[in-house]
Amino acid sequence: MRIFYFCYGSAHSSITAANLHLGVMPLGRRARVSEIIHQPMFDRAENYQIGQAILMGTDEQANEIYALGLAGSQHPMAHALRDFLELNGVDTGQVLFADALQNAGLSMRIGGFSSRRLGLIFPGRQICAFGVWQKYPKFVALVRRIRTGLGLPSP
Amino acid sequence: MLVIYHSRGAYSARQAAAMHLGLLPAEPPADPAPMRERLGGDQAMQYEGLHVLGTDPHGHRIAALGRASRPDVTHRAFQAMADVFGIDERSFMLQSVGPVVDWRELGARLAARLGWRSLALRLQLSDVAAQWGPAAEAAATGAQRLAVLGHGGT
Repeated sequence: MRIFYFCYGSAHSSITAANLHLGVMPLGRRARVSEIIHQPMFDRAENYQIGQAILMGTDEQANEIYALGLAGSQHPMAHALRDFLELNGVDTGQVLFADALQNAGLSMRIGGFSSRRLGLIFPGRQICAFGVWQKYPKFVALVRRIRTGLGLPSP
Repeated sequence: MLVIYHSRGAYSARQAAAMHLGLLPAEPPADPAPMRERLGGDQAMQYEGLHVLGTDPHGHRIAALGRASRPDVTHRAFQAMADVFGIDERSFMLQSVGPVVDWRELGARLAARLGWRSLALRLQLSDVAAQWGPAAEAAATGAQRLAVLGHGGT
């Protein structure tokens, strides 16, 4: 399968969810803010990269895990991309689009905007990472749900 | 080839796709109300993914998409799917319709959400009329691009 965790800019929510899925970030406990900041690809995507699918790795079942930014219209675009795949004969039973942005809180949005759009990288990244820390249980719940559906263990 | 006309909301893209198929005239009508119904009415206010309107005389499938987002992100996302799934990038073509931000369409959507149906309808009709020119231009551009690519069109 190919699993696309999507969010606004493929910088924070989808990255965190993908890293959780791959075991890079801990599922069994709340990660520290420093771990969140230093996770692969966190707060790295540039504006011109939004829309590109970032292959984050493969899980234990060899499912490909992607982070995908869809800017302001995550659900319509995810719907459209699925339609596009169907129209091209792709077996969409092997494709999953998972909304990671639903877990983002105000701190994440403010921090992400500050870092990615305003260029205030240091404060923005800290605020955003704190926001991820606040909402960490929700990200864990999302990933657990996805992994359980795939028959993967979720510690 | 799959030709995808995309606009911020769904109406403009549907207008362009319908014009490409010859279902709507290139000249704006005096009364846009019947056109609104032909473009999907209230249903088109919902973002519903890709809507294939038909096949043109050259065998191209013509679709419309309300992207609710930036056109550049839309292009990159479709390209990303093509890359990941090995879809030939020459098998589809994206054509943007209208402005990046369509304020009338946004206003209509907001009004509809607030339950102000009368205002939403007025804004939609105004949008259909205002986007007639851009939609016709996009349809013409789409056809030209197909011709340049050697896929028929005019």
